[in-house]
Amino acid sequence: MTPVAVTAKKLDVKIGDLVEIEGRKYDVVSDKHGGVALEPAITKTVAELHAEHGSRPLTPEEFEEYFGDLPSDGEG
Amino acid sequence: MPTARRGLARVAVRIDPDVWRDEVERFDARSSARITAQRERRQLEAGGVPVGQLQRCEDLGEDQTRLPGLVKVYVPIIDAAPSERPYGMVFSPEPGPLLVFVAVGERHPRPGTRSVYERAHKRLHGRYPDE
Repeated sequence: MTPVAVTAKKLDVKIGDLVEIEGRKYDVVSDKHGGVALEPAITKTVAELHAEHGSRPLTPEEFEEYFGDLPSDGEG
Repeated sequence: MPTARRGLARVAVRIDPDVWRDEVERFDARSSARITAQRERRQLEAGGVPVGQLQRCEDLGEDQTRLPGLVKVYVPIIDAAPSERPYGMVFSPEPGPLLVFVAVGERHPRPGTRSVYERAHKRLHGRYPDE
């Protein structure tokens, strides 16, 4: 095999930036080892998901009323 | 088995197509995660989530995620040990109540991959817990 020379494309991005490659959006995130990685972007926030339908998240009081007796596992 | 207030047995679900694409298409088309999520989507949109499968997310989780006001299910949504349900779905409830789909993914992924809780944290707060 003959090695093929590849010229790296320099990207002026930092953690937290959003980049688009071939029509797909990616978040620039920490790789937790001092470098960066690309992850499929998170395009909508929870607030936007409710607002787009003219709604809102439950208030803490409403949450307790409906879901206050649900168990939890400590994971997340 | 948890009991639901107001006698709810199941809670309806709304899934935004853009969010579904964000969450599911990051997995290979033949991956267990993607196949399992797609199968569950049909069930969720047809009949909602059984309240008995719901859990509260943590205000502060063991991975430093902060998910107050959100709920989750282990996936697949079946009566089995948590270890047999490696994925999770997170929802944000709104009045009705109705559960708005927020994230799906591995509960305990290999290092370097975000957990479903980290992705839900970012969708809620705009950044990952370690950023």
